[in-house]
Amino acid sequence: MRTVIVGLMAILPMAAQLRLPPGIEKLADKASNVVDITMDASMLQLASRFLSDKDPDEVQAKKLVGKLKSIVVKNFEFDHRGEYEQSDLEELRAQWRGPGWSRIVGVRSKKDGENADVFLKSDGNQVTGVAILVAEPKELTIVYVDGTMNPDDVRDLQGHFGIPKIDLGKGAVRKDGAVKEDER
Amino acid sequence: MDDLERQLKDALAREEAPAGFEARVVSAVNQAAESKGTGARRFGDRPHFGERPRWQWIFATAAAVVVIGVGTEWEHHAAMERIKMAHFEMEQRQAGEAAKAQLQLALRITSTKLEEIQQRIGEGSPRY
Repeated sequence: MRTVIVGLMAILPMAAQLRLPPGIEKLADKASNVVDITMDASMLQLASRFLSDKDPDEVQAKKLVGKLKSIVVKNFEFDHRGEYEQSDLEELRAQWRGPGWSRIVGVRSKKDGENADVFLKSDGNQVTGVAILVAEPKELTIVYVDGTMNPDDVRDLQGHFGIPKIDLGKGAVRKDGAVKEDER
Repeated sequence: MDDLERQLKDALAREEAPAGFEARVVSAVNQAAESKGTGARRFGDRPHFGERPRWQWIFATAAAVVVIGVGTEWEHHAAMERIKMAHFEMEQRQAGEAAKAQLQLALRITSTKLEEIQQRIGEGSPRY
């Protein structure tokens, strides 16, 4: 049974930040399960007001969310392989190779056909954006976070909300805020 | 002064009223008023309750109706405002809880995918 979870929408503010290829927009019609969450700054602030001040998970989340401009999460699950085009994924990756962006993780698995990329945007002092693209044969996940993020805030999320410690290897953010692309 | 003038002066000279004169006059007036019926007012008395002009009764009644009506309407208005405020607060809370749930879901998906990536890295998948 097809399940669709559609989040709170804020179209205009997102238009300038994340441009989804038309092919990606249409995937909702093909997917068996869809999670589509788009939250702008006002919705993030609203959600933050209802985060508990006593729950450690929610305290950390509130600390991180307070400086964000938007969060976009799109997850598509398909019954069959080949429902999305690689060209659409390349178009997405191209957006995250622009000025200020660095790919810090790229994982390719020919065996499973699973590919993953993590991109960071930095203004030299702080991280100002994170993009995650995970492409599996029957599942596609796009995560885009826009806003100021202190690497310490990201690290502080480890262990909360099920977020593991992010060992980015050579792609780790240095203390001076500069981001090194993975050289491996 | 001739005799005529003297007689006139004597006739018009002021004389003190005899004792009891005032009481006799008041009594006479009251008797006259009583003889006219119960509606007449005795000398020196204030108007009876039932003797007030009709327009005063009409005005008082109208004023009472207005006061009661305004009071009732005010209470109704205040009650409606309280209901509206409660409804608004409930809507705000629902929207906030929904936003919170969306945020938690977004963070959970993000963390899950990062964990998968980390596992891939740990398994030795090619990184470039």
